[in-house]
Amino acid sequence: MSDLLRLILRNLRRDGRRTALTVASIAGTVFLLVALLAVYGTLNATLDDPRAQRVLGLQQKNAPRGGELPMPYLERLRSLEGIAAAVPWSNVYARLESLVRLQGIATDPADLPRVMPPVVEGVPPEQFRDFVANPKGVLMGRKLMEGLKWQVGDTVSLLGGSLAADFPVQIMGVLEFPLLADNFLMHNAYYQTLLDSACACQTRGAVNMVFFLVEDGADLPGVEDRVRAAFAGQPTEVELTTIADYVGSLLSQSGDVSTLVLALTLVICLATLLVLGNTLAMAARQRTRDLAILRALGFKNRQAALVVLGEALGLCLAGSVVGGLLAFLSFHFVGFGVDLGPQSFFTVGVATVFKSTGLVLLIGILAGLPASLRALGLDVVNTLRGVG
Amino acid sequence: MTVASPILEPTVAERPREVPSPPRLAALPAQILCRDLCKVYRKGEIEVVALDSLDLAIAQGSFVALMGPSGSGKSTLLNMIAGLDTPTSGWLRVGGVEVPALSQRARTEWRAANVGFVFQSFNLVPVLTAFENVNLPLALKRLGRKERQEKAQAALELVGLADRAHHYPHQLSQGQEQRVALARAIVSDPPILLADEPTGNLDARSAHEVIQLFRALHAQFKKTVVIVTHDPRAAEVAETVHRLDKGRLVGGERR
Repeated sequence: MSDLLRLILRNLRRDGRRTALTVASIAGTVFLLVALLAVYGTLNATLDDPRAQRVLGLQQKNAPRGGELPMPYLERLRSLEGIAAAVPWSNVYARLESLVRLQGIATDPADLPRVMPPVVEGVPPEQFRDFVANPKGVLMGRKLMEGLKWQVGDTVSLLGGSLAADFPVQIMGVLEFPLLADNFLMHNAYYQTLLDSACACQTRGAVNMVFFLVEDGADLPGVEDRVRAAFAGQPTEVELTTIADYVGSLLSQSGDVSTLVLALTLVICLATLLVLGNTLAMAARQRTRDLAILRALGFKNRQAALVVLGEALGLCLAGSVVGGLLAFLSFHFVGFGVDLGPQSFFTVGVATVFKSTGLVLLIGILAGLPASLRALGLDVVNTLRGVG
Repeated sequence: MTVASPILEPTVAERPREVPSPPRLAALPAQILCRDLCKVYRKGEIEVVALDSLDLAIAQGSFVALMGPSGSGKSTLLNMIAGLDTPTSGWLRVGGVEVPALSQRARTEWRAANVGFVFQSFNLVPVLTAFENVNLPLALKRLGRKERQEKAQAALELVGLADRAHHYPHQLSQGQEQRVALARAIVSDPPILLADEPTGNLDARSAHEVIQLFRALHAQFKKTVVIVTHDPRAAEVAETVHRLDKGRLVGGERR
C-alpha cells in the first residue's frame, strides 16, 4: 500500500503546475461551499433557535433603523408582565481628530448579556464588569483597537458627529463580536447627556430601538398582545419584530434562499466535477503506461484503479485543506461576515469545513471514477506494445 | 507433431522432432507446454492470425530464444506464457498450471508469483527511482520492509547498479534502464524469466552487457529463460533457439 501511496504522491508532483492549478480550483470550491453552507446553516439555526423567537425589537413604525422611541417607552416595556429584560439600542456616530469616522452603539450594558449574549461573547468577565461599572467606559471593537493601536485603559477623546460636544471615553475592554469589530459599545445614560437637542439625527431622550427578552417562549403571543396594547394610541406608533422575523424578512428579500444556496452549490459542484474530471482524464491518459506496467508486474486491477482514484482524492484532499483553512481563517480573523442582525452572525465552524471537505471528496471520487474504470479494463498487452 | 495427453505432461522425448533434446535436459519435465495454440486478432472485418496451431515444449531451467520475422507470433506467445494474453483456442500449461483457464485475477496473482518480465522499452515507472522500481514487485509479497529493501538492494547489486539505486530512469542510460528492469524481473525470484526484445532498444555495447547478464543469471539461478529476439548475439547465448513464422514453429536448434 505504501508503494502505491508513494506512486500517487509522485504522480501528483509529476506535473506540478497542473496539480497546483487543480488544487487551487478545488480550494476555491471548498471556500465557496464553506461560505454557502455557513450562511445557510446560520440562517436556519437562527430561524430554528427558540431563543431568537424570544428576542423582540420594538421600534418606531416604518423606520427600520433610524427611528426614535421615547425613553419612557423603555421603562414601560420593562414593567410589562412576561418581559425578562430590555435594552436600548441607538446608533452613535463620532470621529477622531484624525477625521477617522467611528460608529458605535449606545445601550444599557447590565442587561446586554441576557438579551444579546453573542454581542458580548468573548469579552473577558473582568473587562465587562469594569465596563458596566464605569459610566464613561466603552468596549472597543478588536479591529479598531488594533488599527488605532489602542490599549485597554486608554482614554480617547471622541468628537461630534451625532453628538453636541467632544467627549472622552475610557476603553474598558475589547469587543470580539465580529460584526462590531470596528464599532464600540457605550452606556446609553452617558450618550443621552451628550446628545445635542438641535441635532436632527437623534433627539435627546429617545433611542433608535429597544430589544427585549420574553421570559417564556410559550407566552410570546400574550406578550406581543400586551406590548401592542400598552403602546396603542401613543404619539409614536410602534411595531414589533423578532430576530427570527428579521432574518425571515431578509430571506424573503432574497427569494427562496434555500433554493438559491442549493442551486449555487450544485453549480459549484458540477463545475468542479467537470474541471477535476477533465484533469484526471488527462492525468490517467499519461499514466496508462504506468498502470499497464503495474498490471504486468502482477498488481491487481483494483490496485491500478486505486492509483487513479488516489490521485483524485489526493487533489481533493489538498484542495480541501487549503480551501477549508482559508475559509476558516478568513471568516474568523479577517472578519468577513453577513449582517443578520445583532443576534446572528454567520460563522464557519469546523463541522462546516468538514462537510465541505466531505462533499469535495465525494466529487473527487465521482470525477476519478471514469478514469479508474478505464484503468480496470486496461488492455495491458496493447498498451505496452503501443509504447514499445 | 505429437504431444501427449493434456492431462499428463509429455516427456522431453515427445517434443517436436526439429528440436532434439540435449541429453542433460532429458530428465527434466517440460515447464512450458503448448498444444494447438491459436491466437486470432480481429481488426474490424480483417482477421490476423498471430499463432496458428502452435505446439511447443520448453524444459524447466532451459534458456530458450524465440526468433522469427516481425508478426511471426513471438511476442504473442510470450504474452500468453506470462498470462498477459489468452489464446483463441488450444492449450497452454506453464509450471503445471493451465494459465489461460485461470480467472483474470488468478492469472494476475499467478504472474506475480511465477514470472519476471523484461520489455523492449524497459517500462520502468518514471516517477520512481531505480530502487523503488525494483522494490515494486515485492509490494505484492508478504515481506517485511527490511527484507524487501535487502532483496531490492541485492537485485540491483546483481545487475551492477547498486550505486544507481536512487537515480530516476531519466538519469540512467538505456543500458542501465534495462538492467534495472532485469533486476525488477528477478527480485521476487520467479521460476520463469521472460524477455521481449530485451536488446531491441540498446546500442551494441549495452546489448552485450544485458545479454551477458541474462546468461549469468541463468547459469547462477537455473531459471527458465525465454527471450524473444531478432538479435543473433542474443540468440547465441540461448541453449535452444525456436524459429517461428506466420504463427507456426518452423525450425530450431540446440546448442
